[in-house]
Amino acid sequence: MQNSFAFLKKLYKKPKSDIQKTLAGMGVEWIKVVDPYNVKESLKTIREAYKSNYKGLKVIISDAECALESGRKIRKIKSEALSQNNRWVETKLGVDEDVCTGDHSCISYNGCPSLTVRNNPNPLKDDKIAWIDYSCIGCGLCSEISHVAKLCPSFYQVDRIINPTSYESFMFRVRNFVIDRLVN
Amino acid sequence: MKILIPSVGGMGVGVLVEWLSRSAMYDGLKPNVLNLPGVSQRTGRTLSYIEIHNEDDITFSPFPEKGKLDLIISQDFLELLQIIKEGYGGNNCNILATTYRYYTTYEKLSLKKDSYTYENFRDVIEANSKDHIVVDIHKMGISDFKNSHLLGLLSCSGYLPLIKRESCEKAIRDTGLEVERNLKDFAFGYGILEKNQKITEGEGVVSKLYDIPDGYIKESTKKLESAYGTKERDILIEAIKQLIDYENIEYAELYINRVNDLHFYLREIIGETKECEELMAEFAKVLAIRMMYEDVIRVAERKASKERFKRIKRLYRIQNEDIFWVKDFFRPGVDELYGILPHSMGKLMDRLFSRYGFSWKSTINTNHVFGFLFLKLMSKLKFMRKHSFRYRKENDLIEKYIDHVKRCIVHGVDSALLAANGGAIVRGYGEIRREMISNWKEFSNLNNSRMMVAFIDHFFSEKRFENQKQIRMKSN
Repeated sequence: MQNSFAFLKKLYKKPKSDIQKTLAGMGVEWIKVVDPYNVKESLKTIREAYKSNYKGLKVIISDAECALESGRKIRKIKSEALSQNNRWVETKLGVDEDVCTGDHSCISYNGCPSLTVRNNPNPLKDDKIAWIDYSCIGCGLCSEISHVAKLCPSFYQVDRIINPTSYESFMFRVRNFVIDRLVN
Repeated sequence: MKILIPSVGGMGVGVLVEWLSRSAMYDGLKPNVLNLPGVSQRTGRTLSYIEIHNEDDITFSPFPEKGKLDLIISQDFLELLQIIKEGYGGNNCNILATTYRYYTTYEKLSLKKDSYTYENFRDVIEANSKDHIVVDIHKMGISDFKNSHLLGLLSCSGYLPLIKRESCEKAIRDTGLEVERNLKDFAFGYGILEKNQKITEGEGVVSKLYDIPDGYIKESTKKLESAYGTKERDILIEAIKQLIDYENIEYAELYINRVNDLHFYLREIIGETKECEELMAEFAKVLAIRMMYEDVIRVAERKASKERFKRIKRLYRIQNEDIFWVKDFFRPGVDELYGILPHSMGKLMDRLFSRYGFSWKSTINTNHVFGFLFLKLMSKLKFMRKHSFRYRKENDLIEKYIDHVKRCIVHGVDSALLAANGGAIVRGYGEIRREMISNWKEFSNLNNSRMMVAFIDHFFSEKRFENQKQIRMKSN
């Protein structure tokens, strides 16, 4: 296993191996490695595989760590960083409840457990709308898919900066001041 | 005291159990815990059973006994219902739960209403408990409901009289997991019940006439009061308010005229019946939504609104001194962009570009000055909407929708109700919306109620996406 953990990960760790080298050793010549979080690149590679004139086995390795596992690792790093008062950026994704029309197309493209549904807060709408719940680890795949598949403008990303630098704090205050004047 | 905590793997029940047992020990009690963990990461059910006694010589039960529990705590509403179905509830059992639940992928894809709601199962919960508190986390306005919120609610509920608030807080501190944040969440959860906010679902539409500006619109709305029943009136007032916010008073007047027109037509054909009321309520809702179509102006307006930033701050619990950046992802199609141009120009652009399907991919930092200014300027183009290409296109479709409802009345109120409901098929942005419009056009050719039921049933279920995927695969 290239990701260095198997099902019983805590009890049974396997040494890290290389799928690409293993396949090459088995005689596979057409091998591509893609980052599944880069949807555009992944789609391009899949199209390339479909259209390629190469006759033989074509393998695409989708190489990235499980989002939940990396989330667990990040949690540890975050608590260490915060205990030392280091700068930390916490990223979360969200869906605007008054922009989402409830067509659920984003869900049809995406199996993320955090991308779920909730009741529509607009009393005129009975349908459920998309909703990203608290378990979101901010991988950004939902917004990336929505962007690539031209679905809708409901997705947004919030970057919360903990222990910001003084320059960041200053810029934030200046921008907030201007925006407040524009809003009012 | 016998406590059962049904949950779904990955919700952190282990931590809640740890806190509960520690706080019980701090108060001199004897807790005993039995965990039946399921598969983690949201795929299996997990059960935790705790017995807390204040005497020394007690034999703990190795498993929860049906009907003999004192308390059921659940983070997942469906798990609570399953536990009740299995007979664990009872007349001596209190229930503390949330309306939050995990949906299966098929449920998420379906556009049908969720049937597992507190509103639908309130009687079942009441019949199987001494007292219950079911909290709607969305109404609490937080996106990350945690066990610490639940522990706070539990501590304030009085369902655990022998465990003090201070012991719970000490347990959170001693466990050492994100202590500061968990203590804040605990206090938040505690505060909700302290303020007697027993939040439930299904409150319905609450509208007030005085929110509508004075003048001709208010007079028209007052006239509606005598013509419609309470349910329709509430919907109409809410729709009028939203339409004034969307466009202006004249646009809301157009809405009232359209609703009145159908109402008079209905009265002439079938008279004032209960079915007529139901049909009017559905029609009024769908018509308002169709009239408030989401163009780029509307999206920009919502994205740059003051309420949105307030909501984001509340959802992610961002304090005033915190720094946060909001990034929005836009990809309007070229048709959505030229849709806001005056009709003649838009028509020309449509002839030139509609076949190419271009789109503008952009990421805007909404709370940076230029990003915000851009969106604010876009939202100020509202004055162009009434003369725009998109406005005329949408209004043609709305007229066709009204015609379809009128045509179906001849075939019976059931057909007309389905036709009114079918208008909600049109939704989404760009290509999805075009797909939905062509679906609705297909639907609007139907007037047989059985065929309409079959169409709506298929469309609102997850099966709609199976067809879409097949089409996409063919086109690829």
